[in-house]
Amino acid sequence: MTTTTTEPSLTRSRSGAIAIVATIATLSIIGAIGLWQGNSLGKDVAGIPWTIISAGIWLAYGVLLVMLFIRPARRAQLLGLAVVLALAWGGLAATDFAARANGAVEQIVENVSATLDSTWANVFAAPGIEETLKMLGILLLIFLPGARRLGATAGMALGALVAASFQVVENEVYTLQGMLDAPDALGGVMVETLFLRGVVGVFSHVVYSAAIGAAIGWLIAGPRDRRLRRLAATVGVFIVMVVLHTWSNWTAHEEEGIMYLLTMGVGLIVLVATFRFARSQDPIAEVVPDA
Amino acid sequence: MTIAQVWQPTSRSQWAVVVVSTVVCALLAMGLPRLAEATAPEDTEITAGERIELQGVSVEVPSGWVLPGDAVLMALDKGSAKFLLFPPTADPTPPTEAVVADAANYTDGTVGEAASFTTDGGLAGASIIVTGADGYTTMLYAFSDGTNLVRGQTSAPADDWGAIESEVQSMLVTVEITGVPTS
Repeated sequence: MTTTTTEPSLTRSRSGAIAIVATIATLSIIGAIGLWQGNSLGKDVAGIPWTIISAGIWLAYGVLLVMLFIRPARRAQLLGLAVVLALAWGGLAATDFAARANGAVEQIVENVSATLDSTWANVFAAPGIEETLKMLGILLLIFLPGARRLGATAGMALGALVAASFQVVENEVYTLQGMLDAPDALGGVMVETLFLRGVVGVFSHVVYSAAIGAAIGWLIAGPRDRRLRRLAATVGVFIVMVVLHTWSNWTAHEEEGIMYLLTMGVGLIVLVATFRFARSQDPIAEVVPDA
Repeated sequence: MTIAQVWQPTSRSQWAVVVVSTVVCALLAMGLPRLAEATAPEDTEITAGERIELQGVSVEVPSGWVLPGDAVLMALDKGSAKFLLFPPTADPTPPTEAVVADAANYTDGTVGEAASFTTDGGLAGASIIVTGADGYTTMLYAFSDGTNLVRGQTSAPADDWGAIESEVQSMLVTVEITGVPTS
C-alpha cells in the first residue's frame, strides 16, 4: 500500500466537502446570532468593562488549552481550514445549540413536574447534549477530511479544538451571566468562575472531546477488520465521557470540595490515556488525494 | 506501509454526515424548545366578574386579565392594588390584604408588603417583594392591562432596602408597556 504526499485536493468528491464546509459555516453563523441575542452578549453587557477583561482571560485560557494539542495537531497535519471550522463549530454552533437544548430540557422538567428541581435536569441532560453536539463537529471535520493524516491523533486534535472553543465561549457566557446577576461584585464573580470553570473544570470539555475524537478517528481510519468491535468501543468511549461529564456537573452542582480534586484527577488520567492511545496508533491513515 | 490504512470519504458518506448532523442539531436546538413550548401550561383569558375556583379558593377577577400559565396565578385589584397569587402546587392561603405564595423557590422566603404605582404612561400597576431563602429578592409586579406580567430579580441583599427600591425603580423604567387596559 502506498501513500501520496502531494495533492491538489484531499477528497474525491468536491461537492461533499463543500457541503460540509457550508454546513459548519451556516450553523456557526446561526449559533453566533443566537449567542448574541440569547445570552445578553449584546447591548446588556457592552457597557461592562469586565466583559472585555473576562473575554481576554478566557481567550488566553483557551489558547493554553489548545497549546496542549499543538504537537498532535502537527503530526496529524490538520488543515488550516479545519482548525478554523473546528473553532467556529465549538464556540458558536455547539455552544448556542447546547444552550437552547439545555434550557428547553430545564423548561420541560418545570412544565411536567412540580416537585423536581429543574437545575438537576442540566446536571443529567446537558452532558449528553453537549457531547453529542461537539462530536458532530468532530465527525464533520473528519469526513471533510480535515487532516492529511487521519486517525486517532487527528481525531483527538480536532476534538480538543472544538471543545476548547466551546469551553471558552461557555465560560465567558457563565461569567457574563454571573456579572449581570451581581453587578456589585464583578471581580468576585470573575474569580469564582475562574476557579470553578477554569481550574476545577480544566480537564473537562477538552478531555472528553479529545477522547471521543481519538476514538472516532481510530474507528474510521484504522484497519478494516473488527469494525463492529471498534464501533462498540467508540460508542463505549462516548458513553463513558458523558458519564464523566455528568459526574463533573454533579460535583459543581453540589459544590463538594473533595470531589473537585477527584474530578480533576480523573480528567487528567483520561487526558494522559488519550494521548498515549493516540500515540500508539500512529502512524495510521493518510488521505489519498485526487490523481 | 504496513500500519497505515488508506481512507477516503466518499461523497455519499460526506453528505450522510451533513444530513445527520443537521437533523440532530435541528432536533436539539429547535425540537426541544418546541417541546418545551408544547408542554407549557397555557395562559387563560378570563372575563369580567368571573369567579375562578382555584384549589378550593374562589376569586373574582377583573375583566381582560390574562392569567400566566406558569406557577403563579395572579389577579390584581386595580383600586387598591392587591395581589392574589396562588401557586398551583401549594396550599393557598385565604385571600387577605396581600396573599402571596410564589413558586417552589420561594416557599422558604418571606413576603414584603404590596405597593401600587403608576407608570409614566398612566398605567396602574402593583408590586410586591418576595425575599427568597437565598437572601435575594424577587420583585413581582403586574400592570392593569393584564398582559404585562413581569417578574424580575434584584441583586441586592434583602436587608438593603434602599438598594432594592432603587433597583426596582430602574427595572420599572425599562419595562415596555405594549398593551392597553381592557376594562
